[in-house]
Amino acid sequence: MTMRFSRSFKAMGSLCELQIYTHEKSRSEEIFEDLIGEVSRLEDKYSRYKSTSVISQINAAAGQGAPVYVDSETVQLLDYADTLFAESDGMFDITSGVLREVWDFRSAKLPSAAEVRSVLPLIGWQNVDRGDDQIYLPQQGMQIDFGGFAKEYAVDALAARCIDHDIQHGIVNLGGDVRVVGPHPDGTPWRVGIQHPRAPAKAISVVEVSHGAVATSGDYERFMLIDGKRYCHLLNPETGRSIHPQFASVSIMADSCLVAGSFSTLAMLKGDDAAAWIESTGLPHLLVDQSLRLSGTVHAESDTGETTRR
Amino acid sequence: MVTKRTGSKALLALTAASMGLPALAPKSARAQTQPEGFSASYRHSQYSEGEQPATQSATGAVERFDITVQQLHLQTPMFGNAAVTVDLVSETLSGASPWFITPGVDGEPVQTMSGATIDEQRDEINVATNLFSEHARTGMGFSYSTENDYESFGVRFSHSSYSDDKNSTVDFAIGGSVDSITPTQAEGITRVIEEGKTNFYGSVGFSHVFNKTLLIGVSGSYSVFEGFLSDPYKLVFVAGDLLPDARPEDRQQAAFDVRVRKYLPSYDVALHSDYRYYTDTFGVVSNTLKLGAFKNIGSWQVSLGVRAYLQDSANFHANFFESERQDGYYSSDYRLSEFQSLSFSAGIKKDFGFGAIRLNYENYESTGEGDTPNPGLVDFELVSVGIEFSIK
Repeated sequence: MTMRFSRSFKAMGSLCELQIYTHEKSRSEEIFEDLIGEVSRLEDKYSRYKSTSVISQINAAAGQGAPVYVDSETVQLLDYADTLFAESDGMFDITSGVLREVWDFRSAKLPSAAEVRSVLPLIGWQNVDRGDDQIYLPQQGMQIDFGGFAKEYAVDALAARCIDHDIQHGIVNLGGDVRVVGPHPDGTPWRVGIQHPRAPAKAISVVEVSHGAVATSGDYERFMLIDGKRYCHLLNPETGRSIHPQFASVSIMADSCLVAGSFSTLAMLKGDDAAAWIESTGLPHLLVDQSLRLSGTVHAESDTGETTRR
Repeated sequence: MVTKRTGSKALLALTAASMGLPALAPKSARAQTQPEGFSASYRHSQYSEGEQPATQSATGAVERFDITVQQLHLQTPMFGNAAVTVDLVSETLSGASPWFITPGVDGEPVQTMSGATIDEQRDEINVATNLFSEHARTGMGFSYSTENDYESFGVRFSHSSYSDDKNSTVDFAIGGSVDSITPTQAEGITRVIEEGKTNFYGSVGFSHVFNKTLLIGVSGSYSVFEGFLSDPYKLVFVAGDLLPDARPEDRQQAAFDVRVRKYLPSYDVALHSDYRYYTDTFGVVSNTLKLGAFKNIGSWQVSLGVRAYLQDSANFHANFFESERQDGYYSSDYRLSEFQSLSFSAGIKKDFGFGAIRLNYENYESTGEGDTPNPGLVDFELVSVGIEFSIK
């Protein structure tokens, strides 16, 4: 007889929740410890806030004349970032985090044109030197971060661990990025709430997921309102300016959370053609526009119980 | 900001880029890893051949073989990076087997079965050791099998190496065996006293995990047998005489296999398909296609399978021979005849935290091909019950 066990914790700056079905509590505790250990490993390795992380080592060596050698997991994540850069025509650039130094979303003040200009030369993945197992940021002050996909990668890593532990029914949720390991034991799907873009801690919709992942990207994560205009954390690496996305949020379903998360971010970065572009991927999706209207291909219920389906 | 890139191309590119990421593939889809704890399984199988129909038998309807098989499998990790596996098999056979075929009144083949009921016991032990490292597995095993008239000793070496991302595996194996047979003698029948044969084989395989839901493997193998390869208990009707079954003293076999494993996440179904092409110097050529589906429903697993087999006969096979052959080789063994078979199987498995119980059923039917099919061809039913448990 399997029972459902759950564990909540904070990691990667988010509230996280694991739910699994297994035979006994002691087994669930073992598995949770192992999964949380894996999140900690990834956080220690890839957080830009930890001075000992691989990311901090790479950033600290920027402009110092010598490359940093990295392990195969990091190499493959850098390859992934490289693909994201290419497929987004440079809009998804892991060197653009330096813009945070001039964009302070708590200040309610826009950076000046001169401030933005001062950091633009430090942005440009195409300028990064890479060898097989090494990376070198050529200018002092350049930095990279995996903030755009590390959490999604962690979600998939935890799901893979669940499978290694013979878990057939469970869900991994790291701050709203979700991967389902398998439906409930009776076959019913998990109901995953989609964050309301304008009402924190409230769901705008619920999607049903039996397999695979759901990830959401929105303009509500960090933003400031100036003269009634919303400036969100999504910044154009070429101009250094905040993007005014067509959608308040984009949720994507895919086999892996990494791919789902990348596409939800790419869709936010796209211009007016975002809806058609997402459509062309064939991935199930749920779009919330700036007037909070739902559209997309996912069979979803709004919080009023209304169902939309295209 | 407007881009000409299509979403579907981006999906391909990003999916491909994400696939090699080490934390994403469950170990089960990665390389073989050292077992984590002691595990054991026991299986009891009952194999019943359909009876020889009276219309094709010289002695009326005859019960053919009933076989009871018991298998015990034990595995334990050792020395940090090794595992030892012991397999024990015990079989008891009873019944009659096809002896020889004679022409009937209208020239139709009539099977004569072995007169007395045969009671046999076969016991086998296999011991294997595997060493696991990050990029490889190396194994060595011995086997010994004994029956009242048969003894076999075998040895096997195998090596598997994995790519850095653990998605590609290359396997090599070589092995051999030395067998001896001392047929049970019966009054009035001339049989060989003691004979032997040797076997040497080698195989090479390659498999690749294309993504979390697709694995494709190919392999080729070659095997050579030398020595007494005839069946000492079978006779052949040759131009009015009953002569001993006589086959060449050398048989080389080659086989090529393709296997595909596809998992359909949205249905939680795994599909297995296997194809094998086989040919040997006896002239036997066969094609085998196996399809299986495995569906998980909670802690239950249900499986269905179908296997189709098509075989061309050996050069020296006939139901009976009107005249002598120049090379002196003769056999009317149904296993060397031209035939096809179809079998259906179904299984159910229930997982508990500590192990599992399984029940399987298989129904096999063979049909002869060619002008006059071999009357010895058999149908059978196989029922097996298994229990397995592991301690981690």
